[in-house]
Amino acid sequence: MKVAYFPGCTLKTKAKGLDDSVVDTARALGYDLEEVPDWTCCGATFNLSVDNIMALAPPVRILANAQQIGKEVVTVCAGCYNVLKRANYTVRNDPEKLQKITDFIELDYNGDTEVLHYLEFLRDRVGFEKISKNLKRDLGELKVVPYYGCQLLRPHEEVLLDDPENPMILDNMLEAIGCDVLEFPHKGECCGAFLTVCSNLEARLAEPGDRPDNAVSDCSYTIVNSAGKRGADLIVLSCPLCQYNIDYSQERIIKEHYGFKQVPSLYFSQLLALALGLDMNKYSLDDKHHFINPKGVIEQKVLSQREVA
Amino acid sequence: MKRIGVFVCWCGSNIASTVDVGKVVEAAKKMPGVVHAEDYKYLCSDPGQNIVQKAIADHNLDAVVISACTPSLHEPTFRKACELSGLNPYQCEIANIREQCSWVHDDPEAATRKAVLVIRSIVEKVKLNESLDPITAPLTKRAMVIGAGISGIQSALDIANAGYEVVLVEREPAIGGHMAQLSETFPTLDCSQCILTPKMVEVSRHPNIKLMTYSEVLEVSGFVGNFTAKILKKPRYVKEDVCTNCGDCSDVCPVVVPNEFDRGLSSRHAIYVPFPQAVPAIYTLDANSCLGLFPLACENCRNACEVDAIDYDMEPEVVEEQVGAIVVATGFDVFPIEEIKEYGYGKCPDIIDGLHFERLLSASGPTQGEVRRPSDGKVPKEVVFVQCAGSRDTERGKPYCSKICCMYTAKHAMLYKHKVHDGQAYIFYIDVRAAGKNYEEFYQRGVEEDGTMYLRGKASKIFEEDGKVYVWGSDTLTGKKIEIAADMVVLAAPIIPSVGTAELAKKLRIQTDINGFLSEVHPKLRPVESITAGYFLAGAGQAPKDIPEAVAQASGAASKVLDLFSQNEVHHDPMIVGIDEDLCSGCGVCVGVCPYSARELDTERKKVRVIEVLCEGCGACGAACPTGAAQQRNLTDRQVATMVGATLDTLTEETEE
Repeated sequence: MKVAYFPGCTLKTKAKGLDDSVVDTARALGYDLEEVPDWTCCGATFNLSVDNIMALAPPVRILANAQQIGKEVVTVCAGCYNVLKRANYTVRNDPEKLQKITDFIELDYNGDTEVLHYLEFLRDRVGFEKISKNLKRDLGELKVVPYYGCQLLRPHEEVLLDDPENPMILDNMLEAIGCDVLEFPHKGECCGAFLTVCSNLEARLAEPGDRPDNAVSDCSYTIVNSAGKRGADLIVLSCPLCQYNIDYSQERIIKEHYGFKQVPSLYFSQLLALALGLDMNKYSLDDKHHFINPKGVIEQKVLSQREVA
Repeated sequence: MKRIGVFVCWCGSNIASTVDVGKVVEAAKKMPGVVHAEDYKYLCSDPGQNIVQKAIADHNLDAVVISACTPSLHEPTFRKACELSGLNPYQCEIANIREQCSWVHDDPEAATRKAVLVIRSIVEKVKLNESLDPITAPLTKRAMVIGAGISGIQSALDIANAGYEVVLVEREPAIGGHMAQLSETFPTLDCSQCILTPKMVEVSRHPNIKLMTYSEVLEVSGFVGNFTAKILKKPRYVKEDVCTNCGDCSDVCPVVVPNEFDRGLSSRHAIYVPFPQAVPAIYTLDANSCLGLFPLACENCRNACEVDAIDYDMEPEVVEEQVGAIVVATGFDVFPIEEIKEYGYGKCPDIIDGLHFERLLSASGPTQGEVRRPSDGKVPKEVVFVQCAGSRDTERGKPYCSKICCMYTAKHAMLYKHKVHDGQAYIFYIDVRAAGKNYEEFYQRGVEEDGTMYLRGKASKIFEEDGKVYVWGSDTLTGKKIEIAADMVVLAAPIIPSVGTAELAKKLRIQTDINGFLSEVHPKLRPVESITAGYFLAGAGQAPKDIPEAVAQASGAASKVLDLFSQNEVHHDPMIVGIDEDLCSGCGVCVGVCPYSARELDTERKKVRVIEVLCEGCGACGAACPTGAAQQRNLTDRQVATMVGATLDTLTEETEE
């Protein structure tokens, strides 16, 4: 079955492993994700200047083009999901704005494309039970913490994926593929987001010994340190920006916090690929894409074990 | 033709500064049917009333129009004055020229013209007024009190002590309500059970109180003075008159379930008494947790009982009681705080609510009054209390202030320090509301003598890590983020109406407010009466309140019941909507729209019958009636038409001039 799919820029560059694992796992479950024709950048952040037509034109164009394939479009990057969902919410509630945008992009669109996160797609279209029945590897030894970040959850009334204070969709998905899911209070905490850009820049400009406080590593420290203390083998996430912040800031954290335990991170779809028995060499689990490579713990706790059924 | 008197009030300057009272009097004198008109500075004063009474006698008046403030204030005053002069009170009408004229206009000329119009229309109305007599009905001088917490107990005792019989209905196996669960009470720190149990015992021994525990009100029919209540006695499978409270049955029961009385912090057996001082001191077999009664899975309790008190064949029983008044004292419950996810309640056993903490402090509680945290039994050295944990939260909690939390939290912190001398209590607060006799002093004492640390701000997140309960929050006085690694957290969750209040209110046909609390007639002047006649409100079912307030309201409700019982029959306002049988087609539309069940269809005669004592004169039936058979007394269609006609006539005359 064919479903429209919007990968977004990051999935074609830094987060190639996310793109590949989403497409392959969907295929393994019987769905063909077909990329939205002529797709562009989603707009990257849902612009604060909501009157700016340029903020809404790209996502609305993507939503309109997706209808060449179907009424639903699947996306996975938390940033893209947030932008598409909120742009859709905006034009659905403001016909005048919708008219302006559609005139500008010269396409017909009335707001009826449904944006689904791949997690929602797995839960509501595929069904977690079906996934549980198709497991090829035993992930029972893997202790994981789910990490949602902010863009999947907020603002709640526009995004409506899950309870912003205690989301469960990723927890449930990880349980469905057989992981040992740990209780994690920081699953919706901010990773530092785009501050990563300015703090790195400031760090480079500043004299050694006079570096500004690194906001990102402070945020990430809380998250990763708690995951480590709880005994997590992996932090499982869905957002490329979170992955970057959570993973690469550990380089600095380890120098500043004595006794800090590093924890590797990876995308939920990579773990799904693992559970479905796919070839794990294909999904960028390498040093080029990770500061702390999750391959080791996967080898040790899953791949070295005997395959089930 | 009626002889009508018009009296125009100045209301000091309230009316007279905008309306030219003299001109109004002159205009009134010219109105058809008016034989006398005069003005006075304060008509509601004694001399003012005397003027009206004297005029009735001197001018032989048949009807009176008082032009003054709203009828909701002084209509009873003037009707009484008329009655004393031998005039039927329903021949007195009020023309509102204050709220609906002088207060809302600032052009004296226009306001004066409008006042004349208002009076003119009321003069026309009163011409067609009938003389009415109050409707009467018999009165059963026996009361029912629903809920036997401290409020219900107090109401029942007050009514019973005055010599009337009371049926006291409680759905739990024992009486006492939440007060029985509390440790010490603010602001005196006297033991809650010690002051409550004497009252519980008094209830159980009182010759005028019929106590029905483990019972629920199924249905109430009838009206003020004449209610019939159907009450379900749930089977407790233990004969109340035989059980000796020895406890042999409980000792042999194999079932262990969480004890609700201890909020799940301890366990009980399937056959149990909730707490040692329970009234009645009778065991109850909880069929839901028993291994099985049908078929019988275990007979341990029956075998152990030496007096043969256990009866597995006991059936639910429905009892009918006739009562004249009902006090609703259904109390409160604690908001399910797990719904506010960031507080972590339900994920970590050391995050508890205030009522849990009461049990931990209580000498009869699961820890015999030692403060020990639920997860591992350790004595917590740092405890964080979070006030307004869901109260004053318009988004996910409750918009209102739960009123009692500031004080019980101050008390908790104090009692904790008295028990754990090297411990530290922190309180997150938005405001400390310590308005009450000796309350502010009590709160200050906690700060000064017991070192309670108050942090002004909200807790944003509470979670467990490394065996500690972390509280993140902000201190809005310093503008700093705060993290406290505590051993235990106590949440002051909102107070909500007790579970089942909405369903019960529907059965009783009484009203609830937007938050589900029982509604009173008037928030200031009639705070203990329900809008439906014959029902009275007591305790936290009406709004969150502490013990002194609950007891005061309970006594207030009881005195209202006694006020009712001091009469020999029930009186009812005759301003009802009657039926003109010649016009009634028997369609029954009015029966369906009546919110008071005051109308019924006589199918044989094809006519609607009005049960006059039930009618509140709302007029819904009058609006719905297709033939005009349903007419509101003294506000008939004809009266309204003449009022409109007179107003239009006056306006036309004005234009012609």
